[in-house]
This record gives sequence, C-alpha cells and structure tokens, in this order.
Amino acid sequence: MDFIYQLINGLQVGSIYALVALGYTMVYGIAKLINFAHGDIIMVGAYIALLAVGSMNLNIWVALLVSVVFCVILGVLIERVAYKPLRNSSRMSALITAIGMSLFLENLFLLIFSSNKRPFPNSFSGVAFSIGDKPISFNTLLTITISLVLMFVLWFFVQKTKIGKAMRAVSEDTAAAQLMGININTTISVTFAIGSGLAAVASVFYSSTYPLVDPYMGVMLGLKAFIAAVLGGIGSIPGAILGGVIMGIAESLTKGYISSTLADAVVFGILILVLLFKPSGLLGKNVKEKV
Amino acid sequence: MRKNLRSYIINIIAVVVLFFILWGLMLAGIIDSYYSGILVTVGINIILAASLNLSTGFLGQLVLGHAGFMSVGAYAAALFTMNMPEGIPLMVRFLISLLVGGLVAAIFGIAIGIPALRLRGDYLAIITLGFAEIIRVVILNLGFTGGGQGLKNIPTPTDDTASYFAIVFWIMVLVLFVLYSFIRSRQGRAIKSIRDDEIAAESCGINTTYYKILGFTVSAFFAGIAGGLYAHYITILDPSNFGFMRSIEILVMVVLGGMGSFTGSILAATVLTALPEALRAFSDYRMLIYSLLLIVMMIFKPSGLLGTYEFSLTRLLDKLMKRVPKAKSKSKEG
Amino acid sequence: MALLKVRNLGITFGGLKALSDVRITVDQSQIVGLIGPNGAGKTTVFNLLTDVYSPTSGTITLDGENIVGQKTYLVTKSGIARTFQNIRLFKNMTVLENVMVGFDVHMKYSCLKGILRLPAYWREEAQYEQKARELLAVFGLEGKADTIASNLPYGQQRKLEIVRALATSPKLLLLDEPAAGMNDTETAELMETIRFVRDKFQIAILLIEHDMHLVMGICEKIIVLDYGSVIAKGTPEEIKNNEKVIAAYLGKGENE
Repeated sequence: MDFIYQLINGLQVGSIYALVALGYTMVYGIAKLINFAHGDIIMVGAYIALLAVGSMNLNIWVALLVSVVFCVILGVLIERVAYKPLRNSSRMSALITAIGMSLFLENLFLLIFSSNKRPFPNSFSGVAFSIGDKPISFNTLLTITISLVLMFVLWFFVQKTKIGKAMRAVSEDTAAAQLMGININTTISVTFAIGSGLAAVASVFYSSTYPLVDPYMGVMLGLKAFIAAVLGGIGSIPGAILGGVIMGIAESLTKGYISSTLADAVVFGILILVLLFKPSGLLGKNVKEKV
Repeated sequence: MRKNLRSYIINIIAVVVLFFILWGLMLAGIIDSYYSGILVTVGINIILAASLNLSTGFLGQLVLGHAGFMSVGAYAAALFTMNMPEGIPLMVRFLISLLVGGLVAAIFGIAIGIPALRLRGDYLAIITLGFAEIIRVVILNLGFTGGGQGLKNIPTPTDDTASYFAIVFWIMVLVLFVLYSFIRSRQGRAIKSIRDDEIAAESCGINTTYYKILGFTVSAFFAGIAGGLYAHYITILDPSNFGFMRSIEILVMVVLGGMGSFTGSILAATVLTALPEALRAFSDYRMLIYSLLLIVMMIFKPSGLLGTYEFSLTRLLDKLMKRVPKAKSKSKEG
Repeated sequence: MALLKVRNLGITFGGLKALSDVRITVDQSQIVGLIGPNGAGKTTVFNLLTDVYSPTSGTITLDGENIVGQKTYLVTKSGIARTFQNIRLFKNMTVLENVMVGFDVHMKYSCLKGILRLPAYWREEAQYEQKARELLAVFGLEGKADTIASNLPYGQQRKLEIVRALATSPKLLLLDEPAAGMNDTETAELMETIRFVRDKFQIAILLIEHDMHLVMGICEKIIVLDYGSVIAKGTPEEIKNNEKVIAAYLGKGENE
C-alpha cells in the first residue's frame, strides 16, 4: 500500500516535471538552445499567482490564468530580446546568455521580494480518496489530471494544426523549413509561448504542493525538469513526458525508502548515467555531426 | 633565445616591482588589513579565472562546475594540513597541502573528464554542473568533511594578512607562468585547435580526446590549488561556498575578460572582486549587474572585452622605445 | 606500386546502403580523381578512409598496413591527410599556428618540457616554425604568417588547408572539392599547384571534384561513383567515352 502511495506521489511530481520538461524539449528541438531561464519562468509564475491570490484576492483559477498570460508574454519577450540576436552565433554564447537571463530573473525578484520564503495558499485542499491509511489530496489528483489533459492538447496541437506542423518542420531542418515559406520567428515565438504557459501551470501546482515561494525555487525544479527532458531524449515530446514521470517516481521512491537528502544526488546520478550510456536519451534520435 | 631572455628579465622585473609596491604599501599601513584581505581574494580569483579560461576559453568546453574542483582541492588541502603530524613545520605542511589539493582536484578532473568530454557542448556544461552538485551533496553528507556544520579550525600558516598576500601573490605568478607557457607550447596549440574545429584537429593528427582531458585536468589542478589557498585563508569550509553561483561568478570573470585571454581573466577577476568590496551599494546589485553584463556581452561582443588579446610588457616597451620593426622580426615582412 | 588499396568497402546508415563494394587503388605519386553525381557517396569515401566513420564491411590498406578501425588521428600519422569540402581551418589562430598544428605529429617535446621551456622546446619550436614558413612560402603565403586564418581571402584559405595537410607529411593527400567556389583563373592556378605538390613532395593525391576541366586535366586515373558503387574507372579518355558514366551524368542533369 505504501508503495502505491509513493508511486502516486511520484506521478504527481513527475507530471509537474513533465510539464516543465516539455518547455525545455520544445525550445531545444526548435532553437537548439538549453533555455536555462525556463526554470525561473516557473518562479515568476509562482510569484504572479501568489500576488493575484494573496494581494488581489482573486480566485485561484483566475490567478492561474493571469500567471499563464504573464509568463507567455515574458517567455516571448525573453526570446526576442536576448536569444534572437544570438541565433547565428556559437552555441556557447547562446547558453551563456540563457544562464545570464536566468540569473537576471532570480536577482531581479530577489531585489523586489527579498530572499524570504513566502507561503503559498493551499488552494486545492481536501482529501480526494485514501489508499490504506494514506490520504491522496485533491491537489494530487488535479495535478495529474490537468497535466494529462494539457499533454493531450499539446500532442493534438503539434500533430494536427498548421503551426504545430511548422514547429515540427523547423525542428527537423530550419533552413529547409524557411525555404518552404515557414516563418521561423513566429514559430519560435509560439514555441516559447507554449513552453512558458506550461511552466506557469506547473508553477501553480508546484506551489500548491510545496507551498513556499522564493526567488531560487526555479533553479532545482528547472534542473530536474531539464534532466527529465535529457532522460527522455531532448527534442522529443513523448520523451519529455516519459522522462518527467520516471524522474518523479525515482525521486519519490528515494525520499520514501532511502534518504531525502540524497534525492538530489540520485537525480544528478540519473543524468550522468543517461549521458554516459545513452546520450540521445530514451526516445531521442542520435545525430552525428556532418563532416 | 636572446630576445626571449630579454623578455623574461623585463617581466620578472615588472612583477617584482609590482609586488614590492603592494607589499610596501601594506607594511606602511596605507593598504590596511581589510584591503590586503581583498587583494588575497583577488589573487585566488585570478587563479580560478585563469584556470577556468584554459578549459572554457582555450579548449572551448563550457564548464559550469569549476567551484566543484575548487571545493575538492580546498577540502583535500585543509584535511591534509590538519592531519599531518604537528612536528612538520606548518609552512611546509601548508605548501605540500596545496599540491595535494591540486592533485586531488586533478584526479577528479580526469575521472569526470574522461566520460564527460565525450559529450559535445551543451551536455558537457550540464554534466559538469551535475558533478559539482553531487560533489557538494557528498561533502555535505560525509563525516570527516564536517558536513553541513563546516570544516573548522583549519590552521593558517600566517595570521598576518600581508604575509598571506605575499604567499598568494607568488603562487599566483607561478600559476600564471605555467598556464601561459602551457598555452604557448605545442600542447596548448593543440588545445586551441580543438576549440576552433575538433574534426579538423583530429584530421591533423591531434589526439583530441587526450588533449581535451589534459586541458580539463590542468584546469582542475589549478582550481584545486586555488581551493587550498582559500581554505587556509578563511580557515573554515562550508559546502555552500562552492555552489553553482560560485561557478557562475568565475565564469563571468572569464567571459567578461575574454575567452582565450589570460590578461582578460586577470583584469576581470581583479575588477569584479574589488568592485563589490569597494562599493557597498554595488554589492546588492552585483549579481543583477553580472547577469546583465553576461547577456549584453554575448550579444555585442561574445569573445569578451579582450577577446584573445594578450598584453605583453615587452611589446609595449618596444613600442615606447620605437623599436617596433625589430620586435616584429618574427614576421618576415617587416 | 599500390599505395592505397580499398577493397569491398561498404557502409550502411540506418539500413540505407550509402556505399557498397567500393574498390579503389591509388599508386605512389599518382593523381586520382573521384567523381560522380551529388550524393553518390564521394565524401563518405573520404570519411571512411580517415576513419571519421567506420565501414560496415571491407578493408583499407595504406602501404600494406590495415587502417580500418584506427582513430582518425592515427590514420593521419600513418600517412593520410585531407582537406574538407567546407573549409575547416582553425579560424581564430594565425596562419602560422594552423600549419604548426599540422607539424605537431612530428614534434616530440613533452608537456613538462614545454611548460618549463627546456631547450627541447626552443629547439623544436624554432625548427618547425622555420619549416612552416618555408612551406607557406611554397604557396605564396609567407607574408600572411601572422594573419588570423579567418581573415584570409577564400582562395588562400583553401591553400592554407592544403599547406596544413602537407605539414603532416602524408603519403596520400585527400582533397575534397579543392576548386569549389573558384573562378577559371584560380582553378587553373590550383591545377598547377596540385601537380607541383605531387612532384615536389612525391605524394599520391586522391581528389573529389565537380570541375571536369580540372579532373580531366590533371588526373591520371578517374574513378566514377554512382549510388554508392563504382560504375567505371580508367584514364580520362576512357571515362569521357564510357556510356555508363554519360548515362549517370545525363540522367541526373549534373551541374558540371
């Protein structure tokens, strides 16, 4: 019974990782950039939701919407201002810029809100059902359900809509896609918008689960989600979901049965094992440099 | 040979003069112990930035875990000094411990480098970050490192900040000399060629795997030495001093100064260490400004302020003395 | 006498046969052309010869020594040097440094001697710098020694790539589309250079080229690839009149 309880908890955290990992994987697929600032978008989303609920007394669902809109705008803005000028420069420059953007967001929020951890209101309280004597909260159930719905919507969007197809085309071969008349700028903006929107949703559920908000909350969450994306095979949407779920469950089981202080080491250990033995990830494609 | 000898003499004189100016100011009390302390930190940061520049600027591999190597060196050196018999003079223990710190860090460099350097670019950055985090978590959970409480009571070879500065200064000079000579040797040339085009380097007969690991290891070695100097200066080690932010701070120095320029690393490490200390108001905004600098720099001058330019005192003197054509006799056009 | 012998060479990429049963022989000091329509697998042959990719089948011997399965840098040391279709210079290094990297295979001083700047360091550096300058002079690049490689005009970049390859003292030089992007005068000059290199250094040259004037002008033997297989080989005269070759080219509307 305890095992199933840990599994469900893992699934909940895993679906949050998956939502965030989708942002990493889509941006990487299309812009070939590890968007280091993606984790910090979650932090921003959490603060916006917190302000909306706490200071403006908005309903949590409205707050979620506000947070999503804000993060979408922020994500697109970041791409336009910081990443777009570097599209043709070296990968290292782009990555350093992304790190710079991440630090910028963290320190900006540190200056505005200080480093104090702020409590996030428990918005989805109540017990949905119990497994043995362990309660599964309404929050857990909601996180898993909404994540599943969003993943399905995303899958539909990428497979069936015109802009989704454009995204896949750009990810396969940017130059060819451009020759076919696909607007690269729009496609990249849409990708950042979707990724940031998903991150905002993740931020609300994450904050409801671990109800403390601080300027550095996105760092670890972002890294773990990134590792999930690498584990699944960066660039692959199903890979990000699979990677997220595996990470969540691995972490939950480590915390439950081994030691909670070692959970982070286990997570990085997974990353290192994957990169050593299958750098392309579970569902990724192996790409060799052309000579 | 003769020209090189001349260049050596000029540089040695310059370094000695610089040292005695600073040293004299300290003895005269014009530079008080607070500012001497800042200069100690500047020296340590110069070693860190120059060594990271080797792997990131010259070898072209983005490393996000340099603080990890520093921490390994710091703990190894501190534990060595603390556990060696008291009978051996402290100064001797201390100097050997720096070497031990460097070697342990180098071993970590090899152990991490062999698997990590098989990966390209972005992945290498992430994996070095991951290793540095694992090192930190492990130090936090080990008994003999003091864990989260920190490693306390590390003996310092001298309580006098000015004397410690003298030690740091000369070790820094030695490290810079070694790094500079290394990069100007055929090994250094091979390392630069890998940065520019790995496939072409391999097809020129360069064993790229070997040189990547070599560069990475040398870089880790000096980070370890810097760690040892740091440990014996602040006398207490806490794993949280070696987190991701520390690695980023060193990276900022390398990036701003110029990837592939030791001169740039020296300048950037000096300015970025001294400025927050000198301007208290600045220190609140320090990381915010660093982050903006990183972004702006990458967009407008990705190679850093100095690019791959190296300052040469000999060249400057020649210019001042209007001996430019002779100095450039290396290129036969002149 | 055969310098390079390639037998039954084949490679498969994800189930797709990129090359099959390729047979190439290059004699000492011979200039051989490798031609064929786009996508015929010419550059893949070069990548297999230098072990950038590992072949799925076949043997490659250089001077009687098997080189399949060796690391690329060891292949270079055993005597095959190459240039690339899209020039791959060390862009941020000087022209002289580029050539010195090529000479690295001959240099012996250890890392420690380099750092400590012991006599071996000064001696070898001076010796090979001298050789590098001489080699640059052969190609009229002596005045550019201290220029950053990426600042060279296109034609000189191509030349520098050849100089860098020659610095490794190859027995066989592989040139991947050396005339790409050159005008007629430059191409004519390049032909002279290639012949000169062969005569001066006594090495064999295997080259991929689309410029038929160049190929027919300097190659003593031509090998034609199509769809990953050798469809013809012979002297320029024989190739010109070979029906298979004409069909392969005409059928595809080759951009000669």
